Amino acid sequence: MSEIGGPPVSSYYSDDEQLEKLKHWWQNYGPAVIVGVVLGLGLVGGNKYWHHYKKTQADAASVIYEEMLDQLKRKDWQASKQAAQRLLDAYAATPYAELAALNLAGIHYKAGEKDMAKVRLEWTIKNASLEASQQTARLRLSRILFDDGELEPALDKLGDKPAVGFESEYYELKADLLLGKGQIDEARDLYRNALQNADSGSAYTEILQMKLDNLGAGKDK
Amino acid sequence: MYFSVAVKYAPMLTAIREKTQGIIAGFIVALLVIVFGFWGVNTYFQGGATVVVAKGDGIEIHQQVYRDALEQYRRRVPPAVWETAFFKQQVLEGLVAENLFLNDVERRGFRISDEQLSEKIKALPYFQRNNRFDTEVYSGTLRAQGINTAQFESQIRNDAIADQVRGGFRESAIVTQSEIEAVMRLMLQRREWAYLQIDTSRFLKQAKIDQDAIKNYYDSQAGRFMSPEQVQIEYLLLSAEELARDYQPTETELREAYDTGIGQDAVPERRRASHILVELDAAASAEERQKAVERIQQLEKQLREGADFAALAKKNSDDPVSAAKGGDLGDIARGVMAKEFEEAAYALKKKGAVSKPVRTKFGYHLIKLTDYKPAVQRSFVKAREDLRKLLKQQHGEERFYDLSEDFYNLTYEQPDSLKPAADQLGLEIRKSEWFSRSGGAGIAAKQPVVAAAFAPEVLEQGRNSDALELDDTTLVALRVAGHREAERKPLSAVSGEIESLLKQQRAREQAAQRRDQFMDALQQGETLPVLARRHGLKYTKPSVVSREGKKQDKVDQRLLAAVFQAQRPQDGKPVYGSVALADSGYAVFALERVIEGDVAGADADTRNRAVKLLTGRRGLDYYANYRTGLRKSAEIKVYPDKL
Repeated sequence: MSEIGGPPVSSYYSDDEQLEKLKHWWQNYGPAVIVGVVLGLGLVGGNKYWHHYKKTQADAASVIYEEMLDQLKRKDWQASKQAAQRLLDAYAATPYAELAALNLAGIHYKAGEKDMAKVRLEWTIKNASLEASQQTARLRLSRILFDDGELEPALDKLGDKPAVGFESEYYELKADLLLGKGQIDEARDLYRNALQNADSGSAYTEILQMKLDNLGAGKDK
Repeated sequence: MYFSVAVKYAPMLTAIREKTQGIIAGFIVALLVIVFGFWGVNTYFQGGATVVVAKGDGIEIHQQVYRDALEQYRRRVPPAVWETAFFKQQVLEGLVAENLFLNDVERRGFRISDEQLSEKIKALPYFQRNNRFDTEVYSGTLRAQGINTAQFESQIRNDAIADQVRGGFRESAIVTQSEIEAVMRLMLQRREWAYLQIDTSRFLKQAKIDQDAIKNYYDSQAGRFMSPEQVQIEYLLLSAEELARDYQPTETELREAYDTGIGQDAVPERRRASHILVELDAAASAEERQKAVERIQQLEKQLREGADFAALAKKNSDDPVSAAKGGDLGDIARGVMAKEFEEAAYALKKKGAVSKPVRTKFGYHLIKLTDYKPAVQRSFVKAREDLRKLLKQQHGEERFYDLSEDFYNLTYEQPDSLKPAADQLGLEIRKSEWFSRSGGAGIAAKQPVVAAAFAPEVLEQGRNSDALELDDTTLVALRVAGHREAERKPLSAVSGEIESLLKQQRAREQAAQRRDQFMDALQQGETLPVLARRHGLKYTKPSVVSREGKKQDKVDQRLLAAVFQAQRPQDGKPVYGSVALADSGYAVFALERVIEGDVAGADADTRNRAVKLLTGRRGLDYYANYRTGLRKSAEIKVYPDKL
């Protein structure tokens, strides 16, 4: 092990011999050691810099994002829109951008700018890092299409299966869409699924029950 | 060892080395890179041995964290619930969900910087003095509450991140017009229907049950109709109240008690005080003490020159909590404050008086009496009845304490009988009624008594129980005087019960048969009113009912639900259905018409309710869904034995 790994230093050899061996070893491995040290330092430095950069970005984005939320709660749409836009322009690599995009979509929708809302939701579906944000954007985009009477595109946007945790919401929308197409039996099963997956403490279960009941879900007896 | 082997085979190794130089050089580079790489993340390897109660998916819940969380519920939840394994799991589950969430959002880059955190804490009202954040109030308040600063700050930070994510989903909710209307249409939907009732009671009288059926039922239900295991106990009761029953204090005793001051105060005195504190540690140096003395004397001088006490306290007192209120400590009762403080405060007799500097373990105080109401006194005649009760009580308690040690000893040392204790203490051995493990009347209503009576030493080995402390001045010791095993009641004792049970069952079957006949007949074209008249049943004519039912008469909730779950009538033909009612019997209904909700004519309440429900579902609920998703996809190992 020591013969291979480190410079051979031992009292069996005279000083000259030792020096000679050391030189020889350095000739063989010196460049490798230097390359290793340089690469290692570079990696540590680069890594540290990268982390620092990301933190600074996130810190700045976090402050702007909180301002945006405050403005939304005060219903100052203009200011919150600007803040959200800044997050999308300068901080797209932070997770604040996707929540900003969802909120921009909401502001646009409330202002009657449906097409702009759709653009923001599409952006979120493509760029979000949280599966929850993506799923949220999908559900909302699909609902807007449904509202426009575009059943097939809405179904298409909804996708084949829900993100984990979003089952109830997904099944409900799918049932609404299939009911719109006249597929009552499928819709009934899906509402039942939506109800089973709903949080039992939620007040909305009452609405799901109504939707299910309305399709004649009762037993015959 | 490696070395000597290496020397022996040196020539061969040299040969190998030359060939492998390239590989080794590469190896050294890789090794160095790995070593450097780890330096950047060495924090992962720190931390001592801690007990883990749950882990997986990048999180670990330490036992201490779990215990702290559980402890927070101790006073808010009944002990019987708090101690259950189920409740403990719920608490742990909450921690797991919270940790998974925080872990995920932090990994994805959500952050609260130190500056942001500090802004948030400064904005909290609890730590402000004169509407501004105050560091001393901050650290003082946390210390007073026993909260660790680092923990508090990390809690605020976690809450802030959760607020960000929650707010992002909630504020962005989109609810479309068409879904609001769809929900309103359902909420406002009404249905027109009629129904008849088949009461089970109609069939009860005709139901005949013979003795064989009763016996068969009794035989087939092994394990039912049991009388519980019961005991009867003998017990000794030592209670201050009973010991004082025959005691009457003499007139002299009453008078003496009054003269010593007992019972004179109809209303006790009230003192309210403020203080200014100059903090001084008990172990302070002479120099520090000198400084503190100078400061307190300076303050005293200012007061004498007419400075306002409250303003001075606010500015100078080292007790931040009272300083914020101008030094006010509220009413001071005896035995709460430090002794020196209390003496000085009680020496003040006039409202507005200020003490000389007083030294306590906290430092130097100046005390001001801000309110003083002397005690209201009353005459002997007025105090007499209260005194009599008090002396009687005292007498009972004295005797109780005199006898209680003997009571403990005698019942313990003579475990096979209560008689020695009864004789020596002059107590009477009493007998209880029979009672089961769920308790009974009189003494058996006390839970500790029931538990002791059924304890193995007492029930099986026939010994005296320990002396049980029912309250501060009541002791009980008991032994079992009689024991009845759980046993099956004889048929004769329960045949009445079984008969009515079977009658009910028979009647219900007949009612169900009648319902089936009706359903067939209705399919053949019969109508509800005709069937009802023919069989003399109660019929309710068609009426239009909303989901909430009619306010004036109570509609059975199951019936209402069944009607709203029924298929819609086609081609004007009613849809028939039936349902078992809550009390007894069946209802058969005819759904005539479904009337869709009138959205345009809806009141604002209905619209607001629909919008509110939908906004929550399409906004805030998504945040909950996100968290649920994290929990569902995570594989967490729980160590139940560590809970």
